[in-house]
Amino acid sequence: MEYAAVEIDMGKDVDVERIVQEAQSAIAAVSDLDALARLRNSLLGKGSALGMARSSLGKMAEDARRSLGAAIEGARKEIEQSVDRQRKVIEENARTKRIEADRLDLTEWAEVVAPQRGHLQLVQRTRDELEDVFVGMGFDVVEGPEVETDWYNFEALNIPPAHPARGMWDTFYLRLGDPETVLLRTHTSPTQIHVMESGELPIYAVMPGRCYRRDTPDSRHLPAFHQIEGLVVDEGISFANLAGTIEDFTGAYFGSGMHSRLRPSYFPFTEPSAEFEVTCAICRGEGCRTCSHTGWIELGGCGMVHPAVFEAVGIDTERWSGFAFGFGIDRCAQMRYQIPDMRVLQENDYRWMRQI
Amino acid sequence: MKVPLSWLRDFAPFEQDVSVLADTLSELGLVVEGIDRIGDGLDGVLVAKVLDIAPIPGAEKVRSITVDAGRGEERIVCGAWNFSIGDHVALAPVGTVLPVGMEIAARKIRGVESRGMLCSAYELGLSEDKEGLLVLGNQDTVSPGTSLPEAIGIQKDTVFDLALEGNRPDALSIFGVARDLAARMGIALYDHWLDGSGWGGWDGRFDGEGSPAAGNGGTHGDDIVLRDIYTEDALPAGAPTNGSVAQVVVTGTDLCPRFTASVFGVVSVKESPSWLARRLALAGMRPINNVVDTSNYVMLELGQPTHPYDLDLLADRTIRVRAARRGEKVVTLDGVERVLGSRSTGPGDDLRDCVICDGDDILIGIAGIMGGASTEISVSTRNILLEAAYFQPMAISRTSKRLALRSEASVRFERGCDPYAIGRAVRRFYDILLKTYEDTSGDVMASSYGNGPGDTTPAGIAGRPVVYLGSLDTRGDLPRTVPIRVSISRLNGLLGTDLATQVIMDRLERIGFKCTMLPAGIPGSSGDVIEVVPPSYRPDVLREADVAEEVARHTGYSSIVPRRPRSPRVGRLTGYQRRRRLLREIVAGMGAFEAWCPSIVDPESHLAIGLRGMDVAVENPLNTEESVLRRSLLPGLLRSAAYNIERREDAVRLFEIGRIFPYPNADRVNKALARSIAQVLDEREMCGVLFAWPEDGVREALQLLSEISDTLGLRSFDIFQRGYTDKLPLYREGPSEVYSLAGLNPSRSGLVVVSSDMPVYSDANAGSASTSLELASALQPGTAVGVVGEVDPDVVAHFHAGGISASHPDGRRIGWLQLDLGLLLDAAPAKDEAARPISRYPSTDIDLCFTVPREIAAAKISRLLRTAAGDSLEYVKLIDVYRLDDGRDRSLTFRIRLSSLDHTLMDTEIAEIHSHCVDILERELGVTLRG
Repeated sequence: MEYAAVEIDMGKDVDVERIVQEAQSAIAAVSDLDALARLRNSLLGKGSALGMARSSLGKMAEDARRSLGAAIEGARKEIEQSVDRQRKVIEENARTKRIEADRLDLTEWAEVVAPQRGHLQLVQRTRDELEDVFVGMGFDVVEGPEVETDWYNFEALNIPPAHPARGMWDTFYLRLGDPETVLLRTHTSPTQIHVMESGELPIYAVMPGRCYRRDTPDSRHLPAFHQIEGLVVDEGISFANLAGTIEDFTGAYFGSGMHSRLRPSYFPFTEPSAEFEVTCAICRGEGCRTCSHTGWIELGGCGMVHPAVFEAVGIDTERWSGFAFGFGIDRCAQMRYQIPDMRVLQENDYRWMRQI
Repeated sequence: MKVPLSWLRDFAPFEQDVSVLADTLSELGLVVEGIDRIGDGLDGVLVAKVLDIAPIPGAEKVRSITVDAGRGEERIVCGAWNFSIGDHVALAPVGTVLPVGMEIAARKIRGVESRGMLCSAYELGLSEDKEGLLVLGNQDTVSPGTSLPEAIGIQKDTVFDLALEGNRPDALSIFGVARDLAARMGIALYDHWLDGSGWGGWDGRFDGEGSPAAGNGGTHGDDIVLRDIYTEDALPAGAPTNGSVAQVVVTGTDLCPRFTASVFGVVSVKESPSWLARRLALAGMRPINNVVDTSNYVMLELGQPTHPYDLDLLADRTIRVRAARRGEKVVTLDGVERVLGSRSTGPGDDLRDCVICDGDDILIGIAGIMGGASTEISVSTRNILLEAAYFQPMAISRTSKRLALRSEASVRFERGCDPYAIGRAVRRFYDILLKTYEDTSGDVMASSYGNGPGDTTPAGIAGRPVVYLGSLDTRGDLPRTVPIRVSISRLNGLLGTDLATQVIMDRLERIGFKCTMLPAGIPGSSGDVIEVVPPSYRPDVLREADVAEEVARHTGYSSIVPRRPRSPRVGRLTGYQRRRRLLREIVAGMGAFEAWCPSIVDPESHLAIGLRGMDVAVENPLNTEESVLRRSLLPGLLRSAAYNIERREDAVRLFEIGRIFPYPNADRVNKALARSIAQVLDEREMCGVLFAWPEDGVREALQLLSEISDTLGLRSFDIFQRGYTDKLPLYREGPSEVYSLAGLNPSRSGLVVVSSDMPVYSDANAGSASTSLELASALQPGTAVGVVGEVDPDVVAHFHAGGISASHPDGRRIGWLQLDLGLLLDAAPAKDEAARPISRYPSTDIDLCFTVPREIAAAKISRLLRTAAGDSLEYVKLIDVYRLDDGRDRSLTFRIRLSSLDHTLMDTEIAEIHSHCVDILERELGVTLRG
């Protein structure tokens, strides 16, 4: 917008204040930067009211000149400042407009994108977490073969041929060697024998891995499953140490407020033997359907290493004692993620795996 | 095992709260799996007489019933149809909580107010019968409004369902449970059980019985033991004239170390009285007749199975005990024909099944497991031969397993009955059988109840319902209890306790162990040794640790204070384990889902991918489809991919880390069986990754390979592909499955080989705790560690994993990467760990575009360019591939980025490298710059 120069009547008083006011309202009305530059020139240039007032100064008396000169200079500064302010306003408005025009509904992308990463298998992840707890307690992680001889899976574990206790495990035998001499391990306990045979003492180790039993698949059993076995052999190891290890593990893995307890049980390779139960995670010990109103869930078996097992691997029972424990990794996962049917674990269904 | 509390209370005053008793039982290892409260919830249920049955307009399934339950007429809506006017039924009024947990409320059904429910036997917890209402048969004696428990004679009781471990044969009886429970609770058994008077005033022994440590009166060296029972009195019918009542011949006393036969005459065989039938039913057995029921009662109470034969149906009144001949057959009481000695149950099985025959050597039963139908007790039975024996536990176990036949008796025999408590069971049989003839007032028909063995007056004579005619007892080599020396300090050390000697001895003595303090100074004793003799009903207690368990059980596991041991080790995963976790993260990071596929697979799956060689077969698979161990991860993942594609998943990327099982040579198996090597198979842990991606999956497989190599800090891999690299040396570690290209597209697959001989990982933590994989040392350059490429389209089609659809008319190209983790993570050469300096000067690129025949691998060109570029090289990268129209040649554009550590490269230097690169390619491969 053009602004007409104010005619200054040379003889009259110059009303600086009015000039500034009129300039400011003119500036405030400008909304683009080019017009603002032009307006600035017309307000402050030679032909402007201020410019003419300034050129008239030379003819004025000393006193009047000084006071008017100061007023003109003050007015110029004020107008310059108004121009600057208005420039910022215009720039800000332009930016706001530009930014607003570029608006993005973030939820649009949030709805569009999907995770690109894959997922780790639930049992594997559970195994990692269990391993980490035991590593933190000073244990090594050792893995053993899945195909074993009768010696490792049974005999060295104090289960001689035809022992009725063999009925505790439905074994898959392999067509190798003499009949029923080579088999798929029915538990991770044979890895204990491998570790003890290696001869290095003391032993603080957990042994996770896949095991096999000839069970028809149902919601709680698969023919293949995963166990983690623990073995400690050292001087002066007692049943109290076993209870302490189970209790500390329970708190570390299941969370504080979760406890364990031992109940007499029977395994040929431990004596005394126990099963261990942990606080029911569903009701936290209050009693519910899952735990048959006992407040406890059975997790695994444990006990002091049977002297016959030590004898089988040549460990001196006068000097060394030890304990072992074992439980199902799949079962931990089942408890934790409340999986009603274990068979889903082997279906590898994307829809299921994606949510875990 | 089901244990009624009322029965336990026969032996000791267990008056504590049921939950206290249950907890104590569980703490003893007699784990209570369920508590059945009989008669609970029936208090409010009333007998109601049906007065009227009226249809409800518009309702087809329910009717309006008017009943009288002693409170005036009441109207109930009911959906059952099995009753009529005048019948007595059970009414649960509003507010009743039924045994099944159902709470009865007033309801309006089809517009009719129903105040209560008429119940089925199932809803009342009386039986499994859900069909129709319980209709009572005693209209004449019971008036409407009587409480149901009173009307049908239900007595309240509690039944514990115990899960017993295989090492506790002593607890497989009501008495055994009572004995353990009483000891733990500090309650004494009633005196008459302790002094023997409870067993019928008899000392409970045949001659010489009851003192195992003293021996059994001489072992019979011969196989055949023969005894006759002689009687002065004639049997009522068909008795042999020579006075011999029965004979027993035992052949093979190793199978049957003790056999007793006792003969009883009875006036009749009849239905058991209700108290006996009820106890059997509570314990889970079906009542049959008073003789069979008595035998079962004694087994449940004392744990000693017995078997009654109809003596008059036994040929020659003779019992023969022997091993069955192979293939011999018998029809057991359950009506099934059983073939004996037919199938080995495992190593150490001599195929000998112990059987019972009659005098004609005809099989009449399988010893200790199940009797035959031909000699069973019937209403016409008048003379009973009662077998009470001790069979070899292992033999019973094997036979039971062989025939897949378990019975209440076999379970007890295979765990080991008390061979020295047989007489007591026979005496108890006599007493209980006699009681079954008592009339309701408790009087016995006979005047001489309680005369017991030795009184041989025939049955029926002088009104006596049961007459004992004598016993015979044959013995072979019976197990003996052996004294165990127990060091008190070692026992406390094992348990982590500080129990006083006297406390330990007390706890043991309460459960029948005899303890003697040994004087200080005897060999092996530091003055704290006791000698412990376990009772004959505890065959499981053989050594010090077994005694320790008994002490712990009767101390209470929960009162042993937990104390975690301090491991002297620093816990850490091995390098292999750490790198395997990293590998899984890398693969998942590429978008793959981790799968778990079966290791027992269909042999067809190996044929389908063309994998040659033998499979390790499962001898006893669950089904023929899953009968061999897998030798490749490919079929399982293809199947899972097909599963997901079928469910309309578009991008399927799956991986698995798992073992494969190559077939071993015979030598290896023999060595493992002889224990000179620790592993039967050379199991290999593999990582298989499958890219069933709408894009070309091979590219992703190679991308992943490069990520793995980079992240794990491996030097680099070469791809050995048919048609490009045949002449290069190739080292093969391990079984052929590791580098088998089976199932892959021959022109689009190759081996992943180690391309450098840089140092291997040095891992102080690896040690013996590493994985099972058997690796000698660092790998040679050129060693195959796996395969990469595209799955053969025919294989993809076979597994239906192509997912042909409108968007993929030709199906997917599926990419595959399989790596041997033992080779990759334990032995593959690592990059030099020292970091190299980077240039501070500007870099320059030379882009070269060559016409390359398809027979020449791109990798070969980049290798030559790398050599030619010399010290100034940053990298060589293939940045463009363009297939020429002739189909034989390609145009490949390589970018060579150059820089120097100490100056900006000059044009002359760059020109020199440029011409060097061009020259070397032309000279070595005849490849020229594209014009």
